[in-house]
Amino acid sequence: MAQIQAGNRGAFDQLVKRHLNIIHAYTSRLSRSPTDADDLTQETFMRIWQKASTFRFENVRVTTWMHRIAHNVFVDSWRRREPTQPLDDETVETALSPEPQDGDAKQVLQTNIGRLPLNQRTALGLCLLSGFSTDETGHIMGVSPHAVESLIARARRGLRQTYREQDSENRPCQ
Amino acid sequence: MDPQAFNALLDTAGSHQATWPAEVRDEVERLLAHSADARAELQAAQTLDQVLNQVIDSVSEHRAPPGLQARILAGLPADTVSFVDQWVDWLMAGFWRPAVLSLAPLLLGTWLGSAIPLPEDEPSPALDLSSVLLDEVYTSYD
Repeated sequence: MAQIQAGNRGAFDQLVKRHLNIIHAYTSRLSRSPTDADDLTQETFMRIWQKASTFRFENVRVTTWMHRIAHNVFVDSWRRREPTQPLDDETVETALSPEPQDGDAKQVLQTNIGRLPLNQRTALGLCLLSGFSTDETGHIMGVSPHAVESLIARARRGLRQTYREQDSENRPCQ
Repeated sequence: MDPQAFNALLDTAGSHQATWPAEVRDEVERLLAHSADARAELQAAQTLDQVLNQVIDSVSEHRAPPGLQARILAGLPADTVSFVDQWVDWLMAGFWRPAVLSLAPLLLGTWLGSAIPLPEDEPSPALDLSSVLLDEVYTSYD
């Protein structure tokens, strides 16, 4: 990172190679569109290059800092596209969620993880899927660690309730 | 433990008993022994954790499309960061930097004051005049 801060393009090449997949996975989860994920990933690395001098080793890990930039790139992109709509849970859920799919309860559960409100999906993804701590997730999302815990708890409860409802619908009458 | 507390436990700690606080495990066991609803909640939580583990695997296997890396590197502008941008970024990165910058003229002046040698002492015209006068006085006494 220090070499990138000094403008070393070779070092930046290595950074892209090492982190491309995880940043692309993150932008894919946020945008749920392969094309948008490509553009968001490219924009993210562009900003990483341009803002490398602002990175401070003592503050956060490089991956946390990069995810925060990716998150901000997504939020900026959302605001450009939907300038009048706030980036809150309900709005995003309505705007982005696909129609429920047929299938067994487990499949529906998997689908519903993708249908979670954006903040819950992001917190769940960063903490449980990417392995960030609640502090780091809070840093990436710009919220407190307590808010992250609350988002994850709400996500778990919502998914469990959906699963139980679906499971009871699929269960044959006795 | 009541069902609401058990649901809250599943919300925050998931379905793995190892992640539950040790002091509540016995209470959970008692609740599960007599509550079918609690058992159903636990089963749902276990299924959710299984699905999350599958998603974790898929995330670790995620691959960006081929060509994206080359596209990113090709997209970097030739002169990506201007000198002014770098300077502003550096300045804004810490609150102490503007303070140090504002002290720079003082430090420069102090350094210049100590580094530049003073000219050799020369007798001032006033001193010369007084010495001439004194010479005349001494001469008149003589």
